[in-house]
Amino acid sequence: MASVSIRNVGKRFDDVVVMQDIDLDVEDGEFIVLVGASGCGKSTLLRMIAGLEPITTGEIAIGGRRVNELEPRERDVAMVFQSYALYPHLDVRENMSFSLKLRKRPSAEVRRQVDATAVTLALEALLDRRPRALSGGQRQRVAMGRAIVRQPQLFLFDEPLSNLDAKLRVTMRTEIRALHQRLRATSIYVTHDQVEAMTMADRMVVMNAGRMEQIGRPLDVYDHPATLHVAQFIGSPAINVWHGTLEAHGDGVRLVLPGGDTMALAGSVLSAGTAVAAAFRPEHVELVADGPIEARVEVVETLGPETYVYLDVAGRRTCARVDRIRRLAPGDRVRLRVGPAAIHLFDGASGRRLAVDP
Amino acid sequence: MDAVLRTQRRVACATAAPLAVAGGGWLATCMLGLSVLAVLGPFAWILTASFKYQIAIYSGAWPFTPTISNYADVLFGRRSDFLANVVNSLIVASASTAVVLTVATLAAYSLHRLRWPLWVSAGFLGWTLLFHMIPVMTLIGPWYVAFRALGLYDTRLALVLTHVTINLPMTVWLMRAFFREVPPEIEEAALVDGCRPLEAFRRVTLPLVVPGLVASGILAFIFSWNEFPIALSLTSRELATVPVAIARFAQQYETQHGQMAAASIVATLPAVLLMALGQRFIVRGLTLGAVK
Repeated sequence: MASVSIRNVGKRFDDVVVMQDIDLDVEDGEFIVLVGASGCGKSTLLRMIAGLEPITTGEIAIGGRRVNELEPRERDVAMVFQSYALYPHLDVRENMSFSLKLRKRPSAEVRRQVDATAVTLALEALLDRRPRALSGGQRQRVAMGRAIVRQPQLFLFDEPLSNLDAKLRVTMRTEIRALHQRLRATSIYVTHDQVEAMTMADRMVVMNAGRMEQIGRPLDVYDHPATLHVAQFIGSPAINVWHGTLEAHGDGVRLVLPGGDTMALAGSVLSAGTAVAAAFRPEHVELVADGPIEARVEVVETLGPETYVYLDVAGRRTCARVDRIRRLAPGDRVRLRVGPAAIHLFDGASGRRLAVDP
Repeated sequence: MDAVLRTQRRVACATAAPLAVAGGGWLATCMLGLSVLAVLGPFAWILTASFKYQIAIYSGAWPFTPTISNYADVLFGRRSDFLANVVNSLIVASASTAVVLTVATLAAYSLHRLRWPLWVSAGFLGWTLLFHMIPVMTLIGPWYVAFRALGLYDTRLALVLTHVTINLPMTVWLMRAFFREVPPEIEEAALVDGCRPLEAFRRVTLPLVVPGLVASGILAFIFSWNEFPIALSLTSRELATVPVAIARFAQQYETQHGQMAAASIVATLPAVLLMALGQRFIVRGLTLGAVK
């Protein structure tokens, strides 16, 4: 196992900069998730680490060894592809032993290692099958097995679960996580699914348009998003965003919304007159009789453990999480309040987080 | 059972949808019978002729007394070089097929996988297509002159080279289509797993295009086996290939119909054999990418 250090890495196609200023240190044994919308560069970054895509600037080191000039086979990494990329003309055993045979390991050892990995992944009964005779979930496990059997320095996962159905995806998510806890192998995992990122990552990297927007532990990112984009990307249902202006009020400032509603804000270092985006999560919206803001219920979604209510607040669609005992129907008038501490403020122009506390 | 179903489907296709309903069945059968007759009729005529004496062929006698003397004459007769011709054809067809497969596979792989600028790949493919459309007859004259000058006239090498040239365009296109069917991640997985690029090609990509190799190989072999005008112009009696030899049964003062028919039947054997062995590959190769 090994640490990975990515220094100032960038990539250009001709004159188009597709990625720049990537700096990331992955610790030994850590599970890092790169998450972002499609086209944000997360897969490209993963392929650059694997050596399948050249880098234009910067340096990548795996286990303290600079790998910029090394071919994929020399980097000692294993990769699980979105399409699994199993070798269709080889059976499961041959697929899994392919890399070991290339390394000229003795055949008794190859056999033993493949058998052991097959037991781990419950593939013993499938070793003689060709990939086409396997189900999606089984193929996925073979792809995992092909990576694990090598005991590489670094695991790379490129959206390995996105071709599975929803139920299997949740199961495999847990399995991969459990596997990681057992193997403690340094892993970099790419996904567009923020739920996967939140649930699997030791630390997650939110990417946007070829840049890293934020690195942090899932809950830190959830609680303290660095930019409006991160705030909107992480969390489901999505965070509520209200645009408004800051106005002096007593000692501090308050938020004035189009339409005249105002919201109390925490902190005092903000300057009046700034256009801001105020974001708050559905679980922080309180529907109370004496709330300062009036709203009308548009849609009620009951999920079982919780209920989400979509409100129309002077034309702004806003989501609130309420207890299941609350009986609400579309058209109902309610009043709401958002605790000042739960409001994230972002600069209206740059989308960067505004420091609230002194 | 499966074969029956497939035949029925083919019948249904041949008749087009409205006729396939009840009552149209006899028409479908007639159409099918006609097309089978059109294809197999001439072949059956040649087959019967190959077992007839010359006189029976001229008189059109039916029924006739079958004889295998034509075959004996063609294959073992003292005046016949036919077996030597078959050997010539086998050498030329095998060699040209081997060369064409090697060159076309590497070219197609390079065009598909390496990031050539568009003008190179488009230019190359466009030119091969254009070359494929040029009538072979226009090339034979220049080739004759060129091979004379090079001292290659009346050698098997000359035939091999020309057959390779003629077969390359189609084979490159076919193999390119097969390479396009191989997802790039499979090769990337091999690279990450520890293959050098050439190893990844040999161990992973090449095995996946074997159906393509079989299909293009059979097509190239059969073309070379059947090719007539080039072989006629670039070889003398000694190095004549099978089609040329068959044509020589028709001479100025006498046409040996019986022997000609027997030789023709013998000449179709390799093609029929290859087609039977590889027809599923060929059908896939020719329709590849058409339906997905």
